Formats: sequence, structure tokens, C-alpha cells
Amino acid sequence: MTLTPLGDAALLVTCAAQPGAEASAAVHALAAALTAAALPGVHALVPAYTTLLVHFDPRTTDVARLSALVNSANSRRPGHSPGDPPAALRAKPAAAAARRWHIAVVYDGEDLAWVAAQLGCATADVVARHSAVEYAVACLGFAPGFAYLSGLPANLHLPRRATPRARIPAGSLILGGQQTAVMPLAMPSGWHILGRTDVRLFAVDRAAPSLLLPGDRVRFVPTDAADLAGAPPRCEVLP
Amino acid sequence: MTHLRVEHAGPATTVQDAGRLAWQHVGVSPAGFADPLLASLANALVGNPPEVAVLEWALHGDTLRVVGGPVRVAVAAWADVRVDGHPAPTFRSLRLHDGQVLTVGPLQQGRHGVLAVAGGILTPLVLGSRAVHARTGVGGRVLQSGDCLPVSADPARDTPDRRLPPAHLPTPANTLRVLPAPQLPLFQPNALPLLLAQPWRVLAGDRMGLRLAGPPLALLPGVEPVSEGVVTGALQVPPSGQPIALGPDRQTMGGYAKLAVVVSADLRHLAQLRDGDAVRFVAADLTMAHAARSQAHAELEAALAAIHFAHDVLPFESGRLLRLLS
Repeated sequence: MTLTPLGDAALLVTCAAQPGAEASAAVHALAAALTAAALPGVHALVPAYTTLLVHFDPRTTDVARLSALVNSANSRRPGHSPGDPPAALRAKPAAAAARRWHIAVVYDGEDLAWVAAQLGCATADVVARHSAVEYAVACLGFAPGFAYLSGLPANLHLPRRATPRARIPAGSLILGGQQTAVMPLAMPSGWHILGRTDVRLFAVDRAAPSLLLPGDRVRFVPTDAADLAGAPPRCEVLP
Repeated sequence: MTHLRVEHAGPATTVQDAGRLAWQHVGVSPAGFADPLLASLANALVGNPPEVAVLEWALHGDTLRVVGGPVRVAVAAWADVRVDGHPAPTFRSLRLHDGQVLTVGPLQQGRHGVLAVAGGILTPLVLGSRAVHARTGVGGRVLQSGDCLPVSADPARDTPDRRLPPAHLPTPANTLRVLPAPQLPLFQPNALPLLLAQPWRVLAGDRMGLRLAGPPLALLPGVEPVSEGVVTGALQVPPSGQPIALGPDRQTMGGYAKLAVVVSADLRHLAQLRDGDAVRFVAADLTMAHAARSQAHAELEAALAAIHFAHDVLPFESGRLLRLLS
């Protein structure tokens, strides 16, 4: 783990050299430990593929003080060092329980046939490949509630569109490069549209505005258009 | 209910406050004041705490009509300001009555200007903030003609006219201090010296960022940066080699490598650069960044302490003139 200031109001914590499941686990565990520790002056934690960015108020704290606190919170993280975790961390688990979401989607996107043609398979094969696997939320970014999902099978990797679309509808299930996602808001996108869901990925009037959080698992459930309306996402809490 | 009706909207006016910092882990941009110093001064002139929601103009102001009222307002901007057609002072609080019209023209200096209202602009809080992030619609959108902005008309809030002495007006700067970013080793060794060697021209910009033009800055061959969290003031370099300085409407993560970061004390200067302006970057370290913050804080405290009552009578204040004469 290395700590480097990013300007005078943020500390970049690098948890791994390469992205992957292990890197994500380390980033999410550190984020959970720092959330539980409620460090003074910290106003945001932004997990990414290999890093956690700690935004702080330079009026309240500084890089040296915060680095010491981050190192200390990390070393007290359960599983990191032998011995019982301190009471504060036992009372509030450092790693939130993992969740698995089942999201109903209709695979009728305007790019589905084109994607199948590019991959040299039937549209049913695209659907089968895309819905067969479980994805992991590596991080959120680009837009509110936009989750970068890792785990897209290699036989669905495709370059993005040469010209992005100016606006695609909220709820679009999309694929681009080595990633897949659901568009939370109507926004520009250069990814290919495979289908749609009516699950609201982001809503400011909910207690939890973003449906998906870093570390969550996601499965897409192929659904008939007639059955989509009102189908709520199902959430399992994983042991 | 008392409100300000937008008779004619400027090109990119938004409601802003200190922003929505705590939701960045789910992809919500912080948004918030482009120039927090202007917002602090305007808010102080009308008796508000520094982080109360204000109207922020980009390049050109609005025409606003008071409906209900009276309301106390202050303009912190370098622009021609009129009340019912009469010239009105900036950096001074004004009491406006029902039906009076405030017009703010093109900004003559800087990119952003601020209107504060006693009690604040009372648009709904979204995720704890009234800041508008226009690109995603979180918190609202850019103001349009015909919009009505709810404001407080509580007379208990009213304060006497107050002004900021000219000696304490904010000063512009186009030399900004930068700290090297953690991704510096991904760049060619000459990239940081090139950044510091000559002025850069501001090509175009908005609240999301400023595109700068100069000699191309290059990454080492074969380097593919991994997306990570970003900060306001980061100078990120896309494949074109022409840096983009991130503003408050930036995304929360980015995939372009960051060469350097403008120190927090100089972010207000970054926010005031206009298209075509030249900007120079000078190297700093954390100690210098902290000293710059302390100095900026001391200057703000001195300005706030220097705000004093204004006894002059303005031409559009017929009611007040009559009261004083009687």
C-alpha cells in the first residue's frame, strides 16, 4: 500500500499494482475500514480499480496526519493482522456484507444484431453469454449510479462505437471494450446497446440513491418485455 | 412566496453552494462554487454564512425581477449592474422591493460572478446540497427565462446596507501554483518542465474543465493509465497531449493521466480564466500549498472584517430617500 498526495486536499492510496478481483477486494476492504473509522476532515472516499482516493478538508487535517491514520486503520483491519480487531471494528464490520442483485432485462437493444454479427454468432448466443455470468461492481463513476462491472466474458469484448451517441435512454444495458453497465441517466455513450431494464439505478429521492455499491455482485435475468414493467430488483445478501 | 423571476437568463447561470462532496463514491460530481471567495464575500455582504446557496453566472448575468419581497442582495462580479435601469454598485448589499428589476450585463473580468440573497436561494436540497450539476441534472439545470427562484423574505434577517472597501476586492491572477501528481512517473521526463516553461492558452471551458493549448505533453510509450479518483484542479492529459484543468463539475473518476494539480488556494483563479487567457504554472510543494491556503484565509478574514455600513443613498431607492428626508 502506498500513499501519495494528489494536490493538497486529497490522498491517493494505491492498494495494488494491477486491476483484478484481489485489487478490488483490497480497495473495498480499506474503504470499509476508513468509513468505519470516520476520520476527522475526510469528506469523501472514492474507490477505483487499484486505488482509493481520500478527499479531505485541508482546513481540518493534512497529508501527514491523514497518512498516519490511514496506515493505522489499515493495520487494524480484520484479516490484516493477527489478534482480535478492536471493539470499534467488531461492532461495525469493516467489510459490509456482499450483496448480489438480480436485475431483469429485456435483450432487445438496437445494437444486439450488430454485436452478434461482429462476434459471428446468433443474438441468442450474445444473450446467453451475457446473462450466464456474475459481474462484480469494481467502482462507480462517469455518472451518478454508473457501475463499472467487471467479469464480461472475453467472447463479448468489442471496441466501442467510432462515434458516440449524443444520448441513450436511462436503463440501457450497454457493452463497450471489456466492460458492461446499465446507464442510470439519459446521457451520451459510445457503448453498444444490448437491451434495457426499468430498474432505477440512481434516484435522489431514495435513502440509498445508488442501487449498486462498490463490491456488489450483479446478474442479469433475461425477461420478456411484457414482464419487465415493475419487476423490482431482487437482492441476496451473501454469507 | 417571495421569489426572483428570471426575466432574461444568461447563458449558463446555476444555483451553487459548497457542493455535494460526500457522494463521489457513487459517481456524483461535487459541483459547488466555482469561485468560493466571491461566494463568501457576497454572502457576508447580505449577512449569510459563507456556504449559503447563491446564483453563479458564467460570462454574462441575468435580468431578475423581485416578486414579493423586499429582498436584500449583493453582486460580487465585475459587470454593469442596474436596478430599474439605474446604475447600481457591486460588492455592496442592496435592498430591492417588489417589482424591482436587477440586470447584470456581460462580465468584464473573469469567467464567473455571484449574486447572493439574504437567507439564500431556497431551491430544494438534493443529497444535502442545492448545487446544480447541469450535465447530469442532479440539483437542477441551467437557469431559463421564466424560472422562479424561491428566496427568503423574513424581515428579521434584514441587515443595513453594507459594502466591501475597494482595497479588499479579490484580485485576479494568471500564475497558478501546482503540485506534481502521483502519475508523474508515467510521463516523459520533459513533461513537467514543459508544463512550467511557458504560458498556456485557455481554448475553451465550462464548469467541468478548461482545455489548454501549448506544446504537446506525452506519456511514456506503452503506458495505459488505470482509471482512478480525480480532484478539482487536476491537470489531466488526454492522448492529444493538450491538458485539461478539471473544474467543480468534473467527474469523480478519470482515465487520463494527471501530470500536476493546482493548489487549493489557487482554484478560484483557475475558475476565473476566460477563453483566450494565458495561464502560467509554477511548481510548489505541500508546505507552499499550506502557506498559500493560510494567506488566502487571512485575506478573506481581513476582507470580512473590513465590510462596513454604507450610508450613501442609491438613485433607485426612492422609498429610502423619502424616509431619510422625512
